[in-house]
Amino acid sequence: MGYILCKDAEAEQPYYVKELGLSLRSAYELCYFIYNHSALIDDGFPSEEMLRFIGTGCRMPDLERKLRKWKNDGEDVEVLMLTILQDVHYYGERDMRLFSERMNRRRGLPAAEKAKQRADYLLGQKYYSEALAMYEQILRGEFGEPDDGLRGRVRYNSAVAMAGLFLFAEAAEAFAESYEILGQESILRDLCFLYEIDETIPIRSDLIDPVPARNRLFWKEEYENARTRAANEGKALRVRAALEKGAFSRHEAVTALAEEWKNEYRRMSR
Amino acid sequence: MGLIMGVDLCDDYSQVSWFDKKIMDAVQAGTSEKEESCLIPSVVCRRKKTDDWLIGEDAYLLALDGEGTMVDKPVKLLEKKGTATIRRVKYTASDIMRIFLEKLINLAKARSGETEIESLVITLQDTLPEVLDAMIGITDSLGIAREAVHIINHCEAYMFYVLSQKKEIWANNTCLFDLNANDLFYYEFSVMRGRKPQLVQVSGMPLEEGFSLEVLDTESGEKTADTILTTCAGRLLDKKIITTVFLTGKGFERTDWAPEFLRTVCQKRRVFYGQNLFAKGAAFLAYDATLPQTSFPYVCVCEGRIPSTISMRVLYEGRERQLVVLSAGTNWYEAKSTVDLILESEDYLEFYVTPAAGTTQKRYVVDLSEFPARPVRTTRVQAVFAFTDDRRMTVRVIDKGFGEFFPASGKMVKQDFII
Repeated sequence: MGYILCKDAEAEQPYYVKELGLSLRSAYELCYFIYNHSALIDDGFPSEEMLRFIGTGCRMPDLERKLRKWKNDGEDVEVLMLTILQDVHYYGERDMRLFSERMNRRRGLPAAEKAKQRADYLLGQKYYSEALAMYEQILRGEFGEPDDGLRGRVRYNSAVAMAGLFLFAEAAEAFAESYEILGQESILRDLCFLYEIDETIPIRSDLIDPVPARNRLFWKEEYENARTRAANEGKALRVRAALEKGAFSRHEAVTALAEEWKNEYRRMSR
Repeated sequence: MGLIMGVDLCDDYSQVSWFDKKIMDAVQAGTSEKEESCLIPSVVCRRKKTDDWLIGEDAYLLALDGEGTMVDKPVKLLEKKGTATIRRVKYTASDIMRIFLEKLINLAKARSGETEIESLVITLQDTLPEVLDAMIGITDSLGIAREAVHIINHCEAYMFYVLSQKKEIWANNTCLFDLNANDLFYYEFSVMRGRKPQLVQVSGMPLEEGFSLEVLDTESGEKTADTILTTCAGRLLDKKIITTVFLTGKGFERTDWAPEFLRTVCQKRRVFYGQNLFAKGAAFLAYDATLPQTSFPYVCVCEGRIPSTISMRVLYEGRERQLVVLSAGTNWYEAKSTVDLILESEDYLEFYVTPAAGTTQKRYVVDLSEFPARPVRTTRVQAVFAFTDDRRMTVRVIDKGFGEFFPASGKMVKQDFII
């Protein structure tokens, strides 16, 4: 419990984080970004622009110098991230310990696993296209040859990204491949959901038929319940509210919604 | 480099002093070289024929000759936000004071040979907020940089005057009798030792026994006045270790009328009398304001200065530290501090008040539950501490969010405290 005294005013030249679509204006925000979005940080961190932001924008030239030297000496990016958090003193002892443990685990990961973490983060943020591109790089072996387990998990997440982009047929194929590698029944459930969403997708009977009918019925009910729920919350409600307006307001509201979703799609598919 | 000066503005007489770096002392600036000319009647007079303005004795003479229209008591006029209409032109109180002050400043410029003002301290009997604001507006309009101007009361001016004297003068307590046209004021200066930094306390009060100086026009009146002052002195100095007494004001231009009073105050004490004490004190402070480090390393407690230190417990570079937001002894009008903090998880702001003359610290809290709920360490606030008089503090806390992660809500909480 306490109050962290902010040493300096915010940076005049912020640092733009493309993946999040926002700018950092202080060393504290940088620490928050590192701590909560470390998956976005690749082995090139910190960039030249980031180093200048730290040295000039955040008025921490000593830290900039230290990071430059250590980076040039080939120090691990996890150590560099930890150094920044330590020098800024934004997090307390407990949080630093947890972060340190997280970084140690990350250091031990093969490059392909690290890349998957980054891609999974992008997936979680609905940057589907970027996530897909990264998954494909992993599968191509650009971060080292992935083992079967990783391949299966990457194929599964690729399927989720494709479904987010409404590429249902491609997503079904990816789910099928993932199941063939990992053999988890939950993947078949997700495949069945896709079949419900898009009836034009060819069904992989060889995979679905062996599933007990009882389970398939349960999945179908699960899908129906989810569909009913979706029709009565979130975006569906907003559409309904827009359509219920008077003629001119309706047009305006629907146009605004469409614009919003277009922008959302652009973001997902960039 | 420029003029460093002090001005004592009173409704009866005003005085000017400037700091001469060649002799490292404050020097009076009157309308002539004579000692008595440093008492400048606080009047302005607009000449009928040429529309120019005169002040002081010249203003009186012009008005007496019927050649001008006079306005007096400029400080009271400012307090009451009065106006004066001269030849169908309406002048506000600020206009009148501006004219008067500019003339006083020109006196100092003429004496010192300087043309630009480096530091100006104005002293008034009382520093009411409205008057302070008006005076700052006037000095702004005279082209004097805001940071070069300070306004203090007579308690403070007396304190800086004494602190600028040799230490033997104020090794023990000192006091001051200020006898002006209609009032008698008494001030006491004491040093509390055994503290670091040393604490200097000044108190001042008007005495009921004040009398009009017209009383001194007759022999019997003089005797009565002497008796009154002697009784005052006997009461005020009884059982106190006061080793230096200062006498100032128009009433003490001559002291032959107060032999008993002088006998009383001179008992085992040094007595100094002369004019210009407040203006000189102001000039000493004006000089000190130009230095990179103050030559008055004391905590000064008196009317017009905040009596307590305001502090907070903060985390800085990972360690808990005591942050002094405002120090005791700061002039209340100038006491303002802004602190930017990130709240760990609190929905309140906590600070501490420690009296300069005591040790008991009191905790105060500003409720911030109105601010949006956010994850830990993602609410940055700006806390602004300021005073509306020497006992009333206002704390404003503004929600600044946390960058683009958590945008600022723009909410502000304001709370007043009596310290």
